[in-house]
Amino acid sequence: MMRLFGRRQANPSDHGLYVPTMDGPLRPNDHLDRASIVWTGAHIDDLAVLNGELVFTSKNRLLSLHAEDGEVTLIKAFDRQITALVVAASGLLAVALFGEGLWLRSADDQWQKIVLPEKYNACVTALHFDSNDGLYCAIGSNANPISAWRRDLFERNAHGEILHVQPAQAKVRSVVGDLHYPAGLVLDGNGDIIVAEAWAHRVVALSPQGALKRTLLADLPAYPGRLSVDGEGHYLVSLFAPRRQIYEFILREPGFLQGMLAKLEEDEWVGPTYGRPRSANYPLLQGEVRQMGVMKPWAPSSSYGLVIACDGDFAPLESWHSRADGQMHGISAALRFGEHMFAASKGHGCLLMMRAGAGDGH
Amino acid sequence: MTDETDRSLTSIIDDSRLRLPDDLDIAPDGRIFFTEATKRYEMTEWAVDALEGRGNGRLLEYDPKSGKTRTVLKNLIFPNGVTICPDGDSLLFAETWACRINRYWFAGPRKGRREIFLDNLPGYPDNINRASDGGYWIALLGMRTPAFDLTMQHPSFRRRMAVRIPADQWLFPNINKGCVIKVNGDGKVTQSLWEAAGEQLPSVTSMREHRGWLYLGGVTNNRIGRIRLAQADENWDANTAYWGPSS
Repeated sequence: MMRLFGRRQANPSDHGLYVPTMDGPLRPNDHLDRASIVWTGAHIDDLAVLNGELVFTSKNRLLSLHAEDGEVTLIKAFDRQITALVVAASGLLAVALFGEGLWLRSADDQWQKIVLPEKYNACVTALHFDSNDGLYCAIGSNANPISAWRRDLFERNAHGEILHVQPAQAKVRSVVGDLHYPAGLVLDGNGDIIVAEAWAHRVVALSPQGALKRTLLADLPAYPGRLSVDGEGHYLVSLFAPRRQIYEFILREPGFLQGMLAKLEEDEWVGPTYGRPRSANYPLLQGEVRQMGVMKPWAPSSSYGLVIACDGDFAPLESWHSRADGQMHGISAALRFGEHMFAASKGHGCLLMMRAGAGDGH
Repeated sequence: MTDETDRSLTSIIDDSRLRLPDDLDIAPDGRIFFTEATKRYEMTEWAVDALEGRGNGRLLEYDPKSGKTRTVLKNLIFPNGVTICPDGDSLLFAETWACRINRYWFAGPRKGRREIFLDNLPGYPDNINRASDGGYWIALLGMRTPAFDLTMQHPSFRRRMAVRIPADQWLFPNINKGCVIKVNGDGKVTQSLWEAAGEQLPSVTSMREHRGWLYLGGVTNNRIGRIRLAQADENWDANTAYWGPSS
């Protein structure tokens, strides 16, 4: 009956064509656009802290930002794209390499390679170490490589999976499958797995065995990606692209959707993007019309910048935004480091630094 | 002078009143040919007519001798710019959502005939004006996008989109660009002028060549632009060329 009226749910946390407005702690601001740019590079992606310095990934390179002078040095260049990065409290570092698997670096700079089965190695979106130096891996989708995340959204897939890897034995175990594009992963103090399910617009807590325990954030106004936790147990959620009613609508229009996926080039699709679309064939929405030379900040742009800070119970505290008229879109990772918050804007290709807590989202 | 035309025989709603007259030109004999872009929507709702994409418009003629207005052609897809051709027997008119320019003969041996003058434009034509070299300037109010073209193949999708989501989220012609094209008398495109960034003069809807300059206007812009034309006759102006020197 629901299907008859065209309101079939796309996924469990779906409420029709409604996209929540940003209000309360999510009230829009321009804090991301006012942040300092500390590094520029088109493919910046994931962030972590290693030995008191910020490390980050950009395509196949693992880089380090020196705290004192702001110099960026290369730690290691790989043959393939790095799709995720994590550092354990013990100093163990891990990266996921596209089409290959995991590389682990011990505290004494020895590298170990762990090959992942083919269906897992093209879309590792996030990593997190447990207290025994075991590694949890979020696989966004078994059906599409990480570069085809928009296709995965429009295919309405729930082919994501969480793996647990024991590096010592090179043992890979599937914890849970059929997730809606897990794009972020951390462990909480109890060892529960906290997962951002992007296509379900929610953050959930899973038991170490993979059973759903709680939904921590539901019905987010943007697609949640990587998660980070600071020393106080507070969380940062990076949301990499905005939800729009038109996207929710075409997700329920199989005829149009199939035509779009089959006939149009990807940069001609109607859908979320990391950054401002550059294609001349970008599909404009009415609200994006520029009048008198001005783009309205509330325009329904395909890209947006958003980081949400949450307390230990995942209650949102404040948020950092870059709106339609801003640049710092497609935040792929954010973390708190000392007095500062760092955020990677994949859409604009830069690393941002701002004072943590300076953004007054209330 | 006029605000109504003859009522359509089969229309239940009285469509004699004009709602969205769009452009006009005056034939050498004094008759005024003008378009009504759509008889279903007001000026502010033109985007709804774009989504509907049907033959809601008409070409009309007002004859000052009789004081009467009649519908010349109906079921046109957002008829927009009109200009009388130099032969004095025919006119060009744009059908915006059909992305084409038509030629219609209102006098002479081919009277009553209609032909496609220029088809499959990359954008949505608005006004047409004569150029000094015998060709025409055509303003494209916006550009087609593959996604909007795809929606035009799915009428029921467009209807559901219009009903179920707010207007600011509707797919739309890309009017964040400015483009004017020039065609010769045979309908061959010879030149295009762009404002691709769409920051200074997006959505150019009208233009006029005057004494070596091309002046550019847009209904949603707060400015008029102009471009020096390299090979244009600096003494040419459209009124003198058409009506002769004023006495």
